[in-house]
Amino acid sequence: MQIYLEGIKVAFRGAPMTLGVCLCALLIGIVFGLIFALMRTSRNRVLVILAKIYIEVVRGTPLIVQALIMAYGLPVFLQQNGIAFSWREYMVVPAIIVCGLNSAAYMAEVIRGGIQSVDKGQIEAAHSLGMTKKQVMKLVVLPQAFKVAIPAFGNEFVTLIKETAVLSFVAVVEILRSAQLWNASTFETFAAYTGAAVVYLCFTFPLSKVVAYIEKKLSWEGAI
Amino acid sequence: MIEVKDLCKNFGTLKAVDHVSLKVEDGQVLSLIGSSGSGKSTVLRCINHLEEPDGGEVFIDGVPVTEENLRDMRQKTAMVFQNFNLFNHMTVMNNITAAPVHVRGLSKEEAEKKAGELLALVGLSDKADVYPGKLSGGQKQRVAIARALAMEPEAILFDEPTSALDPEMVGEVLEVIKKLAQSGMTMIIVTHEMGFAKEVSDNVIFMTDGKIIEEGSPEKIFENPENERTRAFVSSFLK
Repeated sequence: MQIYLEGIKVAFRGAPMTLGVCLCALLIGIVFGLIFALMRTSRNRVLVILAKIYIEVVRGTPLIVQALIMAYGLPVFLQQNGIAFSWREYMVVPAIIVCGLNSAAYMAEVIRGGIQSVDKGQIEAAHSLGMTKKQVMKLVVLPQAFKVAIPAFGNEFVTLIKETAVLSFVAVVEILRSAQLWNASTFETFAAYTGAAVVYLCFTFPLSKVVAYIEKKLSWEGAI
Repeated sequence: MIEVKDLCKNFGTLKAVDHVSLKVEDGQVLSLIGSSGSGKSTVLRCINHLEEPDGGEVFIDGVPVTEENLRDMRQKTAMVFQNFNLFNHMTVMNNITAAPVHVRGLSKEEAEKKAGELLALVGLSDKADVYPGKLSGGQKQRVAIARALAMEPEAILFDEPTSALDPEMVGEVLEVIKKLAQSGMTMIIVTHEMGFAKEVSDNVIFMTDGKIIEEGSPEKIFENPENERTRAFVSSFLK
């Protein structure tokens, strides 16, 4: 029994890293997701196509491959082209970037859904009051689009917590990597990996319950 | 003053509006009547370019509406919609003050003071902090009218303002519109409420298939229509 508790304790040491990366990635994901969603719903064909390509490429390739390219591939590519570049000991930086940009592709679709769910009549009313396109977007469309998207942001955060396990492959000492390192020195393989599983569950289970609660609670009257 | 000259609008092969010309002087009320699909609403929507006209011109105070001056022109003509189109994420107060603050540049205090007066006018002073979701259809439409008035427009365009309302709520909205008419507001009203159109209008236009069939005073249109189709339409309503 003692060894299992030890395994959980060890994995738990990686939790701040996992949660930190997830939080940063979520913020990057929302900001860039919004940009891609606006491109995707714009009238400019070039912007629409660029956004579509980005979304398809990111969603069509595994996160681990993207992480390997960003963490190891990119520095080598730059060095081969005469630019001395290395992430050095800051491997968490490419980890955050890659999770954020990955998340952005999924967020873009969620936010786009939110934008398109806003009643056309309200947009017409806003135009008829003399608002500019920017004002209509900022005052009428986006607040409602984000409201629709809030539960999806929560779900994305839960998903990120699990998906960031792949960062153990690029030298980021998060939950899984902590467990792996402990396993390597103690050979307590079962305790190490079940410990990691328990720690992931400790975060994902309550969080998904919170998200479900918010989703249920979210009415126009209640949330503002 | 609003003037429409030779307006055309096609949806695919359908001529929704077919060479329509009309004129509303300051302080006058014009009603557009006709069966569903006759192009009345499309005329209204073309006036502030919610639909891009395919031909013809719209003049407001003698100035043609163009892509460049569209925002200024829209501020002169407020619109009230069949489905209210209130901003669901804003309180009644914010619905009314949003455009005055962000478009006209009023301070929040000025806009709220004005909004308070308008809410009193439409009889909803107690609903300032309520969200549209909590209002009845009639109340929503009265808020929409207050929102339109907050821009201090020269004219208001009503697009079937009572068509989406339960019968018992039609009266309260018509009452407000009537009050506006009496105060000398210039208005174009697309409506199926014939009794109301007869009472409140200075002029009535009857449309069919995108064309104006007949126009004139309410007495003429409702009591002595010249055209056979006008007569058939009007008599089907005023039994």
